[in-house]
Amino acid sequence: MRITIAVHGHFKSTSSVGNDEMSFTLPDADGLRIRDLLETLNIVEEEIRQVTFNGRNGRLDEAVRHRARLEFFPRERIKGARSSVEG
Amino acid sequence: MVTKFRTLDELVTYLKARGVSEARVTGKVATSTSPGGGQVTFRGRLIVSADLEGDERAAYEERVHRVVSDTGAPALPADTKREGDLHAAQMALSGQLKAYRAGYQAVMQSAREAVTRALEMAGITVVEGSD
Repeated sequence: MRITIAVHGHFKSTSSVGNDEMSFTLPDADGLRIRDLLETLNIVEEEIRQVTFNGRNGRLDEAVRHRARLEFFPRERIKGARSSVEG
Repeated sequence: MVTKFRTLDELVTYLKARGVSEARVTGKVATSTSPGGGQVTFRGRLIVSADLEGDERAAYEERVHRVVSDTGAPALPADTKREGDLHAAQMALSGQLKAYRAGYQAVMQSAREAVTRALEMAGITVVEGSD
């Protein structure tokens, strides 16, 4: 299957995707969910503000299918903070 | 509506004539893999676009030269199924990202810098896309 991934904000410098929108060819995988890609993409789940799936709001447990287009938007980072703590 | 131009010079001339001084540069990379995933082919594009009045835009697309990269990855069995699917997909993604970082990312960055330099020399400021 073919999927397209783009990242925004600081994910452009911290994720494996970088500045460019990338299309990948992957073996068909029935059980593959968005969450399963995060580690490979070097994206920390807690830092995600929003993920879109083909232009609409997506969920991390959503199955990835052929021609999926995923975009990851990060939470804003607090200047000087080493990490953010969720309340 | 998007007005497309064949060359960067044509786009720049058009933008300057309309008083537009800002443009965005967006990179897109398509990968394709050989059977077994041992080789990855990268094809890149840079899209230079600028907002005009209303919802009109002007754009130029530059193709970045194709690169074939040897990932050194062992060939995946063609009949990889079910419980192995997930791991195979993650491995394929990892291999393509590794090959991209090993060479093509720099190719894209170099092409992006050349386009950005050409725009700035023509008096067009390159801005980041909105998130």
